Amino acid sequence: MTAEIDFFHLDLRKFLAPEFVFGENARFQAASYCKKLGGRKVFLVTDAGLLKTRWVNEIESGLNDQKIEFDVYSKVSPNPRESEVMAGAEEYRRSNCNIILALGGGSVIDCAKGIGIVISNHGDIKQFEGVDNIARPMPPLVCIPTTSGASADVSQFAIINNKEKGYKMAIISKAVVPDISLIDPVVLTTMDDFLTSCTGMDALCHAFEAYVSNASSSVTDLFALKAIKLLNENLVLCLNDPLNIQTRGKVMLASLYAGLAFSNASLGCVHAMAHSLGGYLDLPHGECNAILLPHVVNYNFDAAIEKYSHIAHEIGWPGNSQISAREFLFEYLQNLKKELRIFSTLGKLGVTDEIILHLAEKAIDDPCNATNPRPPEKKDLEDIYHAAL
Amino acid sequence: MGQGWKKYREKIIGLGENSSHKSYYPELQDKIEELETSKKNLQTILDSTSDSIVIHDVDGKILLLNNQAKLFYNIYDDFSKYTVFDLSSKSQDLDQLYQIWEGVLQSKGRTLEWLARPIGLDYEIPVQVSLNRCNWYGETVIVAVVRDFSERKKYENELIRARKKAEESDSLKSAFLANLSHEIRTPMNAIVGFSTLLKDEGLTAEKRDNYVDIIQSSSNHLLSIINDIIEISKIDTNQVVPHFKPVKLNALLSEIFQIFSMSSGETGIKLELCKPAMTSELDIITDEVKLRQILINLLTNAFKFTEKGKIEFGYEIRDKLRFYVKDTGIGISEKYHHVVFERFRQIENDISINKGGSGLGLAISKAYVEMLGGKIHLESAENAGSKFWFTIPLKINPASKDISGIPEEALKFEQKKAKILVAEDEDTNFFLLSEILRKHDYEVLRASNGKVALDILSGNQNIDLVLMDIKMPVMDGFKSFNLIKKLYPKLPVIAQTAYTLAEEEDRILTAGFNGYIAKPVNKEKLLKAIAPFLKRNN
Repeated sequence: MTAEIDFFHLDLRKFLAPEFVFGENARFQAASYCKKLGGRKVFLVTDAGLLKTRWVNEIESGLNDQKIEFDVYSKVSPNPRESEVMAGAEEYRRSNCNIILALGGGSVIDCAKGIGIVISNHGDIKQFEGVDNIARPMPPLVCIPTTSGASADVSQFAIINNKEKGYKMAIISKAVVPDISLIDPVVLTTMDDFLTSCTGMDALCHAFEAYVSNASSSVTDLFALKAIKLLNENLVLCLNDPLNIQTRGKVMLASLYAGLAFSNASLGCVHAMAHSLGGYLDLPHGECNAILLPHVVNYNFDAAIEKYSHIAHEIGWPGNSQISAREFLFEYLQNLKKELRIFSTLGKLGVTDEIILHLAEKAIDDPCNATNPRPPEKKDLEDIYHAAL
Repeated sequence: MGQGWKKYREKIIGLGENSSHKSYYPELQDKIEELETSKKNLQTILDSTSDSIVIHDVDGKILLLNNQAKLFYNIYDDFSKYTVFDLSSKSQDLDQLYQIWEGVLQSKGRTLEWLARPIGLDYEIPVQVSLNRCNWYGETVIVAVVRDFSERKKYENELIRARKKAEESDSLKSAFLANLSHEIRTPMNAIVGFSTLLKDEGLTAEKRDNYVDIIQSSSNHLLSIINDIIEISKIDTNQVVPHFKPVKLNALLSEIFQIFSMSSGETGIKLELCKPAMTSELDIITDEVKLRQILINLLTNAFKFTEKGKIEFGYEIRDKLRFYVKDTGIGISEKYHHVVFERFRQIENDISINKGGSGLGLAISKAYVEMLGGKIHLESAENAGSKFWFTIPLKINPASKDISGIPEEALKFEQKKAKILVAEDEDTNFFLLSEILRKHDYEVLRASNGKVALDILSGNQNIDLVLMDIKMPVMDGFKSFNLIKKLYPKLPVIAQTAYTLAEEEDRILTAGFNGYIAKPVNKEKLLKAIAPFLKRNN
């Protein structure tokens, strides 16, 4: 590791992060932040599952206390669709709102971002696919993440499912970074085990990919590596003690770190392939990532031996020759899946050879590939999909 | 081989040039874009209008000109060196401009008419300027919208002129109609009334003749009224212009005298014509028809308003020709003097109504006099007679043989027009005097002794001066002088005698002679001696 340490990269790198409030009961700040941001009428984006929790009621009464009007939009599915974005924007306009409050996981927050983009820039959400395509800032956006994985509440990413073409569009822009994120581990306590596992694996994936990203920087590396360490130590514990705020808080912090890292260093083939896969089969994003990650590490390893070795060290690789870092990481990730009770393979999820062709076809065009340490060919992606069957 | 992701690489590690992460209110963004659009639109509108638009700072310096303003004010170089004062005509009151400016700065927007001046050009343009205070990129400014009023001013003036003319002709028309209806009613009543009476079967021949006479005279009267009305209408519409031609003035006056001597005979009112003493006919340039008409009008009036006494008319020569008609009639009260010449105005008094007439005679006369280049005046008082007098320029006919060569000064009345009676028994003495006086255009009459002088004076009251010899047969100068002074106390009489004794001279002056010249007569002394009296008399 001496070579990397000795040579210090001075290439231009930006680091962008929203204002965020981290801590227990941060969610109660929602109404006052809406007010501070000039909120007159709040467009509260959430989903059907969360409507059953007390979080929504708490926020509504907070807004009532601040005498801020609001309109609730909850027609958001996992892997939010363009139609949900457009319908949301329509309702936003109709109810004459001027600020967006997103309470939910990655799907809800990405949908809220999509709505904001359309409100300010008009047109169809599909127009804004890709990197740096949003000219006009969106309305103020306040986020309360209810999962510890997606980190959409701090990222420059919004992923919207293009149902028509069967893949998830990546929209990457500074414009989609929220104005304020209220990161409250308390809200994680209503997650079930599967959701905890999937989103946790998503966070781990973010950290892995950001760390080995060819656009990473010293700052992102710091967050990525720390996120991996925290997840390694705390994620599985959440399943055993879901109401423990301490472990939930650490996983939440890990998710935040991973989010800050990938938001700025971007991602890699795992996400490129998961976007295609999740879009086509409407699978949980975290599950897709969990299945794909070990195989992508395997594929990438030689292109980022040092970075992967650092990760391996961080999670307990002894560093001797008895087991290579590659093998250590592969086995670690496979075992972690099992501990998290994620037993699926792509084959079990219904992926076939034929489907793989389509998945690779879409995945190869995903912007996330751009920062993968090993520049992928379509064939490479097909091979990885096959390996994950 | 597809690697669609490749295009994203640069942008992912880039700085995100196309977007800002910071959220704005979309409303604010909308406003910003609206503002940008409206700014562009404003510039387009500013440059499209045909009015000049100038934006000044509070001190009047130019901050912005639209295209039209550049054209209008002839500004193609750096306009920032000019101020509102440079754009104003020098004939405008700059203090006033300063006051207006201060008012506008206090939000008193104004629209006013002004005179603009293009930079570097020496003419002014009437404009309408609207001044308003506003805020221009954070600075208090005054916006001037300047509209070229040249054409409009022109039309406005034409319109004012046309309206004035229309109003004048309208009121004239009304007055004309009112007058017409009023004036023709009297003679028409007579004509209608008496022609009805003519049908009466039991009418005597005498009465019928009487009625016919009335109808005829009324008809004539009516005709003259209509003629007058037509004439004054023509004058009012500028259809009457003078025709200047040579006129033999004395002949003209004699002719008029002849015309009115008939009226004189009928009424028993004495008519006198007074012409300056002249050896030759006065040949002048004027409009004979109008001059004749003026005098006829005045004389007609004089006869109309004079029941007894005399009417005198004539002219005098001063720097202008001065005609007059003087009567011993009822006179005109001073309070009416200012209206007698007005058109369609008549003094409402019984006699004038009884005497008939259109009431236009004097108005026509006044118009004619003015047309000939003179003025008409009235001197009169109630029951003290009237004297109308008017002047016209004295223009001697250049072709006139009799007067050509006489110096302009010599045309003065006191040296050449007076009639002098020379009482002298000696032929040679008379011949000498007569030669000198005639040469200076005096009219000379001879009386061979004092008695003859009295006879001549009694038959010719136009004599202005008498040169009286002292030693004469039949009646000497002293005796004749005493009688003349009794009969004609104002008539100047100058003695001329060969007596040179101081005693004789004393006696002459004691007797009351107006002057004295010694024989042999010296030309200069003679002219000098007579001149003061002739001047004084006129």
